[in-house]
Amino acid sequence: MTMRMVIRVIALLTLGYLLLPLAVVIGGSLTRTKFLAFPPQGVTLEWYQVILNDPTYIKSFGISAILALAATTISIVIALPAAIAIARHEFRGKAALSALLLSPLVLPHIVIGAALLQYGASIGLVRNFAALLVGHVVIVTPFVLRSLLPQFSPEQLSLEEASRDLGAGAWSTFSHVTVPQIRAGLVSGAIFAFITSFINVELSIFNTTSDLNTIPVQLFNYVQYSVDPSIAAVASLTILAAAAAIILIDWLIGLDFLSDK
Amino acid sequence: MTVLAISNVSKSFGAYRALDNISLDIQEGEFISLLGPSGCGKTTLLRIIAGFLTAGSGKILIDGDDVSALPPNRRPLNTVFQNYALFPHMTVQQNVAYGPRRAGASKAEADRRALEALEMVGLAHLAPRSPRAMSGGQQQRVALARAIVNKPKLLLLDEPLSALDLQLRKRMQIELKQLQGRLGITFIFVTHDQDEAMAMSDRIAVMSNGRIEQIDEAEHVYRRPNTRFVADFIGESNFLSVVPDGGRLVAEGGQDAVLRPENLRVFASAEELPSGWQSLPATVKAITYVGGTSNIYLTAQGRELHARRYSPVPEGITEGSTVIAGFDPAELHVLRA
Repeated sequence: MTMRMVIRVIALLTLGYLLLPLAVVIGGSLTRTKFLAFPPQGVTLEWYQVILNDPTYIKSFGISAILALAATTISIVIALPAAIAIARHEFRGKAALSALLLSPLVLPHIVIGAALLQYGASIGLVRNFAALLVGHVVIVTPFVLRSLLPQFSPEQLSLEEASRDLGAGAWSTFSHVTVPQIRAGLVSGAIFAFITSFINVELSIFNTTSDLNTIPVQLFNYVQYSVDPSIAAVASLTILAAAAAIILIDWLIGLDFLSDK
Repeated sequence: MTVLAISNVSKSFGAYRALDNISLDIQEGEFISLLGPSGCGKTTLLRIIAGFLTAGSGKILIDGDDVSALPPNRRPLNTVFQNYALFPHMTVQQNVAYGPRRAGASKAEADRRALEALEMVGLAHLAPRSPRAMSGGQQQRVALARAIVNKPKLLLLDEPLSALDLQLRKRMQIELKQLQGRLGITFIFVTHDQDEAMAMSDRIAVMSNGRIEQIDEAEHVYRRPNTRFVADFIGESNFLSVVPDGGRLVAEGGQDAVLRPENLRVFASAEELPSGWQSLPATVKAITYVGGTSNIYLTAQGRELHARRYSPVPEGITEGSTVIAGFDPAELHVLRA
């Protein structure tokens, strides 16, 4: 009983420690001063107004969201068949394929970014949305693959056989039986991929322009010259969007199963 | 009417020949068991019938149609899997309704038919439960309901009772047999348990090394085994040697013959031997009692013999005593050379 209490307290303290920076950011965004201050001096939503009236922020936010969504979707299309092949089949070059798809995890993003810029320049794939997307797909695919691989087990094969036996075709079996079995890995992989893409600076910075900017790169550029509470307001909105996304996912498919495994 | 025709089916895995030219016709409404030790090819044959494996050569015909090239979902049969293979992310009812749904039934119709099938196995009251929260016996029934809900022509059962304890297994044997009679579906039952096969089957196909050693009614397989393997695998046997023409016993070099232990009697002296019976002198090695039966183990002419009786062992027959082992020659079954 006392042991449980101790664990509870430790958990709450840890959570508090993790949440503290968020409190500082959100608190700082509400200050009436012209500089970042915490605790906030007075309370105002003025800085949010500044941000929301600035079309470049809105645009960057949109670009980041679409970029993260597209990169996540494409990475699933690549990683899911790869995971099935690697988890269930023996073939020549299996280890090589697995290493290739996971290799972006060990390369610094800034190296990938520089390499991509140099190679992209020679084929015209530079400073446009496609160039950003290619880079993001490369860095998020390993996250999806890594979360999918442990989801496959030999027992699923007999479930799939049962499904075929009961009259389901290959696609129907995939969507009714295989996907629900690997759902936890698919969702957590997708969340990781989305967040990784959404917060990336090092890779995006090579291919962004003043017209085509992602929200973290824009923040990064901004804080190099000035630090005022509008930065905190943008960061707070990002936190809000992330929270909304998690609630939405929980509402759509439920996150409770993440704790099952 | 022949519902399933297996014609010259062979299958190899690399150099290993799992099935060697199997041919078998199964009649509508029949309960047939594929019986054999592990590695005999019975499961491989079942998987070829279901469509999970393709035969190396030969054909599978269902109702006269060649289904050899059809995927499992387009074959008019269903399977009860050894590990049940229930979908863990669905309720019991959703599991059973899965088949009708895939066959195009509306949700309401599929649910209704699922409940009907669950009713048949006595589990309708557990329809909203998760199969994960059920006992092995209950899961087994759900798997059965799921397999019969689409009213297949053929039901394949892959050692479905092997995970159950003995009491439940015996009860399920009777229930399965009754269910089969009610539904009129042809059952193909894979097992390595000879008692199970004997208790349920109309016919038994005894398999060994990828071949069917014998296919016959249960009683015939027991009383008139074709080969030494069948005699050995099904029940217990005394192997004797006889001269081919008259069936007279010889010490060695004759033809193999089988005598079941219940047909071998032990007498204290030769005077007690009924007329017309054959006999041989023997020494009692051991006597054991199991419930109402007693087993007498003998040595005679260098052979080990086993006699079983369902009444007390007569006085004068004790371990170490010299006795007469005798049998009615009509009970002696000479194996094919």
